[in-house]
Amino acid sequence: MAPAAGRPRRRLREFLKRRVRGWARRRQGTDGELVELGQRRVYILPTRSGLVFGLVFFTMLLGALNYSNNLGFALAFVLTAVAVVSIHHCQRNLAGLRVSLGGCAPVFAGEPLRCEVHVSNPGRTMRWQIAAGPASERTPAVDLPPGGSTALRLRLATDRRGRLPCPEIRLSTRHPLGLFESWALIHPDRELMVYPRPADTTGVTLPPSGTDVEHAGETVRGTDEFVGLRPPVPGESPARIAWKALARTGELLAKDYRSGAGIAWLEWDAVVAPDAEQRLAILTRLVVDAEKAGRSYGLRLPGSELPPGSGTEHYHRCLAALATWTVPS
Amino acid sequence: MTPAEWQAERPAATDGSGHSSPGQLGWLALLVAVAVAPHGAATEAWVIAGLGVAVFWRLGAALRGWVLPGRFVRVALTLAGSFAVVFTYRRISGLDAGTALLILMLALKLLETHTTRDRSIVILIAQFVLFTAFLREQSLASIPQLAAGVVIGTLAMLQSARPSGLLGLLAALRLSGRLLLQALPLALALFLLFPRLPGPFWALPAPGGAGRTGLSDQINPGDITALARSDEVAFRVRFRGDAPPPADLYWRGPVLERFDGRRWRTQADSLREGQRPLLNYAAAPAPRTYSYEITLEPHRQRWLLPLETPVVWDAPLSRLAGTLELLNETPVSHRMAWNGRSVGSGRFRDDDPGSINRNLPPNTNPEAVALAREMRAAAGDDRAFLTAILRRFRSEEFYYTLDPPALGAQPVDDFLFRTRAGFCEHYASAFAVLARAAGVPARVVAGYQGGERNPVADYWIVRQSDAHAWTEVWLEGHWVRYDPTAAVAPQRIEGGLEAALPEFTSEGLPLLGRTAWAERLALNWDAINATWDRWVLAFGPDQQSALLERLGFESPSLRDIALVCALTVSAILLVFTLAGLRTTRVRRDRLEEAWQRLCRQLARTGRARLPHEGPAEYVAAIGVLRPELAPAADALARHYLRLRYEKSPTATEVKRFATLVRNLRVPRAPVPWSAGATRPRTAR
Repeated sequence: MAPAAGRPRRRLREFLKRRVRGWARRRQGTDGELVELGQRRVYILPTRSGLVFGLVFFTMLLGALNYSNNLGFALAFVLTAVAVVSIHHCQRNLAGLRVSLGGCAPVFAGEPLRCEVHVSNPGRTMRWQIAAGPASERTPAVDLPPGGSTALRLRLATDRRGRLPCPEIRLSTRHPLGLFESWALIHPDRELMVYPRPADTTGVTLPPSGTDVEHAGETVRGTDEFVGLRPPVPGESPARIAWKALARTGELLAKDYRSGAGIAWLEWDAVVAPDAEQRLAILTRLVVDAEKAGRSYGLRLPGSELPPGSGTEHYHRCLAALATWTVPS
Repeated sequence: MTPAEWQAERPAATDGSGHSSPGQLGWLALLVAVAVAPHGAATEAWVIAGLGVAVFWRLGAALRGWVLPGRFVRVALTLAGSFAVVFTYRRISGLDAGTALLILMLALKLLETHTTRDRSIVILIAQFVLFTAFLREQSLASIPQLAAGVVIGTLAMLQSARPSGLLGLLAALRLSGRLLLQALPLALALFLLFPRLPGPFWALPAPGGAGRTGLSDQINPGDITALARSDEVAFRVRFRGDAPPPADLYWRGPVLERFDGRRWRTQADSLREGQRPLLNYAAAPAPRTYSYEITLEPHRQRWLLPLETPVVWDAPLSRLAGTLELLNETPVSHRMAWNGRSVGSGRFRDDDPGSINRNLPPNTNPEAVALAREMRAAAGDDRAFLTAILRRFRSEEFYYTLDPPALGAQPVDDFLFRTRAGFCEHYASAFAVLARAAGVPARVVAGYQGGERNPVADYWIVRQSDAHAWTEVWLEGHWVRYDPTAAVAPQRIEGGLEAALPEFTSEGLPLLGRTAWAERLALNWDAINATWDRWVLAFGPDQQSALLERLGFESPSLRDIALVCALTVSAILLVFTLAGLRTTRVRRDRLEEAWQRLCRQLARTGRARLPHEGPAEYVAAIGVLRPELAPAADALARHYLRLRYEKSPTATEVKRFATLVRNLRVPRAPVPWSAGATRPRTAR
């Protein structure tokens, strides 16, 4: 409860955890799509209740020695032997499983990233209480019959945009007695994408349909409905050039749209914000809104430009560009 | 900042918080019942009742949603319970009070059992409570307790450690059964080979409360009477060769020489320690000797209770005191077996008895003193005088009873002239007082007399009810045994207590008044018990050394034992590890292997199977690319699908498929890169 006493201990625990993980990662290397948990990559240690049980067994042993109490010896030794045998059961319970990772769709910062760990049991014996997640007795677990498979769901809290190397996946079991926990670490060769958190308000609005004005946030030219051809402006998007007309007439013209939503250029320079992250947040909001409104949009960032388009693929490409944007050197 | 970490997503159906399900609590309750049951008789009823209420309450909370007590109430209950234990037991340590406290802790912990950790703490305390039950008693009846505790304990641990809830009974039994069976060899090896250290390291607690019986270093009127009401086994004796007649079975305990007018006490230790030269076979012919092995129950006193009179014994750290008491170095705190040889009758050269054996406190029992002087004068010599006393006990109205009336300030006077009813200690005490009053040195000896022969396994059982007191008198330079009880109730000496006391049956002692078959049953049971004691409970440092000597070690040291233990345990663990490697090997799927081989063959066309493609799609793609391969590939893919999904194929069917795959010839694509594949490096 006292934070002053608790913090150094937690810090030590975190430190040890990091060291152990670093060691396991160096030792095991990066994993492929499908991982089979060999004996050599299943680790095992007593749990906290295992340690306390050990203490009680030891006390029993001392008591039995002191009182020369043979039934006391018998109880202490049988319990010890059961605990020792449970080590083998625990380790065997995890070894030989096949694991692959699915899901991991990108999310906005602040939303949890979700993935599915597919675990299958190619062995001949039942596997009990397989859990994915941190070492805790509260981690939900499932039983796997021979030949069976299951998907364990994990989530990752995200707080900032960017590309994130996939943290290791931890599979564990405390079967059979909860005295020992065996675990395996999987290091998927994968990067997770976290998009910037969309700003609540943009400070700019998409221009109303049917107008053709320079607006604060974006330069809007034209709308969905084709109304005719016009001379292009400098910097006209190639998508707007009337290529067919060019081929036919040899004259460079741009397509002009007049009704519905227009093409929106979402531009870095047009957004007013105190820093880069907030700019990115606002641009993200604009991308989300534009996609939701079904409009065609392009993104212009310092150092990169994405031509206007629409659809899921374009949407994610824009968001990825926002997520990974860094100050161009 | 801590590194990012995956968290488990909790399924909506269960909260996954490890909360105790009613089933898991049921297993805990069962384990608690098994652990506490052996304490039932020796623990205050309110403690057990409190535990019962807690179990009921917790189960009610799980099943019916009853409200559990809050933190404040639990703290209050803890304090109240501890005070109540101190108040009831008048102490906080010791077996009874300690167990009561543990049971109360168990009850209170149950009331706040929610998480997996709580459950494991309950299991832990319960196992320890069971352990303390064995400190209380280790009889044959403890075996089922041990077995139930271990089996239920394993099941409870198994069920409690499952975050996803209860496992089916059959599966749980199979799992825990396998664990226990595999654990047995290891447990046995540890039991036999784990180095046993002799002796207690810290003080043993005082025997728990009243009810413990045994001899003590003083005799008050009524002491042995209390002993006689117990049929607890004091020790068992196995004679090598003949046993003496029952009338000669005197098992010598404390020798009480100091008399204060009411109580007989042993001498101060320092005066009894003197090693004395033994055995002067003045009498001819040479007396009979008897060899025997005594298995002594722990009585927390130092007397080893040899047959009178001991000449040879092998109990280490023991010595014969000047009073012919065989004394162990320390109180006998656990079951102890030793061998001895005694002479049935013999003359011992004794030192002068000294004033302590002549002394009578002045102004005590004046009537008895007067009577003794009168009788001594009438008798002429000491021997005749003593015979006269015995005759007086026999001929006058003296009764032998377990319920003598209370005696006043001059107990011997009261006994001799008024109550005239008593038990062995009354007669022995009166006899010794009369002898001393007449100037004959005399003392009281306590111990056991007789015993019951068990014909089933040919040994003698000596019980607390065989406790006895008799007298020794100094005659012509020797101590001579006189047993005045024999004068009053000769049946006591010949046939034991039941023969001497007809009213005894009505007291409802289980020992007495049994029918023949019940007696036979009881003797059989005791024989099994004796075997259990001898081979299991008495296993200790000596037996362990003997075991290793049989294995070829000459006088094994503690280090040898530890080494053998470590090697044996390692060997067993190695077997487990090897067996484990075998069972975790993944089953080979030959059908899958054959299919993979087919895919590799077809990939020679330059078009490998894409991860998302099923057999039919892939073969169709190959057919477009290389029409001449299409019929064979299509047939094989269909064959594979049939084997995989229609029914489980036999080994021969799989083998036939594998052969077909192997026989398929796929020529390498003539211009691999023309099919859109990248140009292989080797072709550069």
